[in-house]
Amino acid sequence: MADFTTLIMQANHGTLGAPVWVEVGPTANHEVRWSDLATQKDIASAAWAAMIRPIATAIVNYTYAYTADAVGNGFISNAGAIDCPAYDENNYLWARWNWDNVGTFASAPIFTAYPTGAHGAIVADDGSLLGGKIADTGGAGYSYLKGNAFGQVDSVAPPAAAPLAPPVVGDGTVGVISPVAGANWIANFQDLQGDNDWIAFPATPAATTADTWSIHFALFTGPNETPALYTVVMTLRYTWT
Amino acid sequence: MNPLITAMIRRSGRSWWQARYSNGHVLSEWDTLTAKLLLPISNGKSSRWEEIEKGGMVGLRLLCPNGMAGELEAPEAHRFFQLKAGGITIGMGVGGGGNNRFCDAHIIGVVLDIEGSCLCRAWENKEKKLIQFQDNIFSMKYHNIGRLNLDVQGVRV
Repeated sequence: MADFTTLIMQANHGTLGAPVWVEVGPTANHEVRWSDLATQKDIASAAWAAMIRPIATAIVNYTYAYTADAVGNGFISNAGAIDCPAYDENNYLWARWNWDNVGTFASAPIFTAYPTGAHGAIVADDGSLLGGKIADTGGAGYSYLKGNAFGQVDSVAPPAAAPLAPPVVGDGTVGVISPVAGANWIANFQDLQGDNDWIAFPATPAATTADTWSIHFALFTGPNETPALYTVVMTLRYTWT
Repeated sequence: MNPLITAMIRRSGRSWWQARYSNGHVLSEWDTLTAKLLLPISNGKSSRWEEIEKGGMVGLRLLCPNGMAGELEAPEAHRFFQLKAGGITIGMGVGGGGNNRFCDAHIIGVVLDIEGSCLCRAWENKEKKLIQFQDNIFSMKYHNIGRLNLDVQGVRV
């Protein structure tokens, strides 16, 4: 079988009722950005505002889908017609992995994140965005980045309801978590920490069939996170023959 | 092996599988490309492992760009699997952490027993080395792959 020709992440910068899906990668200059400001529409990367480390753990409320260096809107912002709304898991048509009908998965795809495109190992509790810090994120030092995923592909039926619980800074489980197969989100968000903690689809998607896999992600920060310019990557790991 | 083919494999910078059948027939990955030129010179993205005959397959090789080859054998057919492990990355943050597609490893394996134990050889692209390891097709630990889809591989256990 061949590898996929098109395999991308899409974000909904439309609305929950009328989603508009835009690619946020892996095409160059497409990316996801976060801010504590709701007005970061069409901002060049060089002018992106820094965040002040908070005195208590908090979600980073505003998530943006950029399709060029200075072209981007907030998730669920009606294509930029309104300021970026604060993160709300009830906006359940949030993002998705999308693939074409050329390739065939050889196992279930995996959703995780790495510090850089080198996909290096992550040391839990090191204070970095993905390493987390026990004092902030709990557990074994869970990542500040949380994810959720739906238990079936959209060709069966896309999500029609939100995850049962909102993400919280202490969410995480060492190793792999999968949603129960079917119209289910994972009960609690999973932390995304490279090869330490990740999400796997509950089965191998059908061969040579274009489809999408709905996901959520939310970023937290806290007083024990090491200040830095983080340029981590979200990753879909998969196998093909 | 034909020195010209060996040179092409070296130049391709990637590994290629080659199957051996009980009747002496040898099938190479580049024979299954959907491209017009059936030589080990492309990226091989269009090869068709899932469509090739698994009956009678008694050997599987991994021909590596450093000149090494790893070979696995089985006493009966439908015991071999072959896959690549990689992914895509999505940049996060200002300027992004880099958007790209990657292939970490090219893996061949043979199932050893009904419990799913398997012996594997893998060409690791980043490290540029051929390794051998044991794993289990029902829960592969290598690169956190998990359960292999046996229908896709044509494996019977």
